[in-house]
Amino acid sequence: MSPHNVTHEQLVQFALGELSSEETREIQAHLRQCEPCRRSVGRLQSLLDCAERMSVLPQDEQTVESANRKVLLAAKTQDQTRRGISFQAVLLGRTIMNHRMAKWAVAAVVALAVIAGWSLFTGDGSGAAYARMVDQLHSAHTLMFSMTTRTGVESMPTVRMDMAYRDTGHVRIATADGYVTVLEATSTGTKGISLVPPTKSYVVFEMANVRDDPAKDPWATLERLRTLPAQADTILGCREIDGRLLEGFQVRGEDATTTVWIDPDSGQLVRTELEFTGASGMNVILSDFQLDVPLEDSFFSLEPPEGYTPVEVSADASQVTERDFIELLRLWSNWTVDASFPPVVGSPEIAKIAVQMAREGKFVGPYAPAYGSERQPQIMYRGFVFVGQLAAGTWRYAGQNVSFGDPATPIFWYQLVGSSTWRIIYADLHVEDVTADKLPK
Amino acid sequence: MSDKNFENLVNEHGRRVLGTATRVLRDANLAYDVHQEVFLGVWRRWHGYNGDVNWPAYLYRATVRKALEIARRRMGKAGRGVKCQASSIEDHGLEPSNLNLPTSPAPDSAMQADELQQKLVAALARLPRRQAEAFILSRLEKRETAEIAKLLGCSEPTVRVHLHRAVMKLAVELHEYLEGEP
Repeated sequence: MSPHNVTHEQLVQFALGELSSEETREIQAHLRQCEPCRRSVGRLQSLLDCAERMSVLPQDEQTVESANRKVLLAAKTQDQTRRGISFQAVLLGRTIMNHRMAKWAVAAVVALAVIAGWSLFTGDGSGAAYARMVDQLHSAHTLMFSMTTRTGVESMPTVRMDMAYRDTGHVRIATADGYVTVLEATSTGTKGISLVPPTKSYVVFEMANVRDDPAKDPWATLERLRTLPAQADTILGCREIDGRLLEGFQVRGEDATTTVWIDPDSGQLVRTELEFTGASGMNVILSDFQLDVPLEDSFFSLEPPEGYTPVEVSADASQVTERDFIELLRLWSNWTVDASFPPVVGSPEIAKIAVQMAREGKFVGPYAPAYGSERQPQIMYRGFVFVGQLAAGTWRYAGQNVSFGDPATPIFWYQLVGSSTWRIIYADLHVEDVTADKLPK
Repeated sequence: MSDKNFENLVNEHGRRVLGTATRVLRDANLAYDVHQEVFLGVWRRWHGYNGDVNWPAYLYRATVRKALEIARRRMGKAGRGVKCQASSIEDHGLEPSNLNLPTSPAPDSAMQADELQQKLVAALARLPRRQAEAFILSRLEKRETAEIAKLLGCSEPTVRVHLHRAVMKLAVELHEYLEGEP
């Protein structure tokens, strides 16, 4: 075979070992006498050797698992976005966790439970973080976890509560000493019951006409918690916590920083830490997560135990008005030793503050005089719901450290939807309509 | 298709996707990125698939595409000079005379295997996609021609044509880095 009869195609086939033994022998014979072809084959061989070396890269088992797990988590996160858009018809039973009103109902209930005796004089308490972390809560059919709240206030103990959710629209919050609150989403709103063991009383509450906001799928929330790593601001890496090696991810939100610790082997959420911008020193740790544990109906019963007496509260959200809020301000100023108004009104922090004030002896008693154990919770509840209904930026509270009496000191102003004027409530609780340019600075 | 199926898909093919990406890119972090991008791309279209997808083929091709995209970006300017050479070869056809370029000075003995691999990946990234796919499947993934034909959706002779062209072009592109003596 002369040099001119050998094509490069044949040399490639030769190098790849694709030729028959006869063809191979012919090429070999040719190569012995043709240096350029020998060099070409040498280069082809060297190319294939290089590829051969690349083919044997070892693969790490753990890396595969970690990559698979991460992509599944990220897929779930994307899924949230999709569900948020396409699942417009959110089941009513699922409204409880994300609706602003529902959140406020919860916040109010927690505040209420604290104020009505849940923990006011027993040294137990807080729950302040509850409404804030509602957003972080779940979607699996059931979810249980423990919530430990460090208040950052020395005289207030660390509080541990057990939380349980079921996607039938039920929530149960229990402390070790038997304070239990159960919430149930109904077709028209939210109803619930809080048990107060020391007084063997219970508070039944109901909120109607809560409009649903279909823009979000509320039960996506725990999923979001579980999938936080895909969108974390900071990846903290692995650390040993309580004897377990966990992988940490941090997400900074507007009002809280969430740190999530995940078991790198199972991908399971192990621990979540929340720190709040507006409450330094306070943190909440969620742990002992259990997903999809079957929970019986009786676990979420709205029936009070035998021997408990009722304190009834109900509020139709469509009928809560400014007057309800003024009643709350009046009640509070009757309740405090110095006739001052609540330090805050638009935050679930009110529960924490109430506990602290009670401990510092700033209230005249467990209930404001002339209000009694039945009316007080109702007024509190409706008052807080009123503030909860107002859109952010359309109201302002300035009642901290102000006592009842001065008709010239504005303590609260707000603008109702569709109104060009603002309503100002003064420290003697009279109200005036003003235009925006006349608002207090 | 259900979310559970997606999970199965990832668990079943994740290793292969990561493996291919690792072999092409020889960088664990970049391969990891390819793995994520490939599967998340699938997930974004998940509910549009009709249940009749050849997943091994789909995933393989998506993986090679992504990996070579990254290789291309990574090479940046470094590979441009070589590219001109390659296109001129394409313009003039693949005659043996073109392939038998003048012998380069003795191959740089200090040239690390690693560098050669980098050059090879860069050259792969510039090949027509089918040729690159055939080469990677055959030489890096060690698949048989029949299997490659299934993955690429073509006949075995076509696979061989793609592979031969790939080998020839790569040999031309890398000739100055390849040892000339068998």
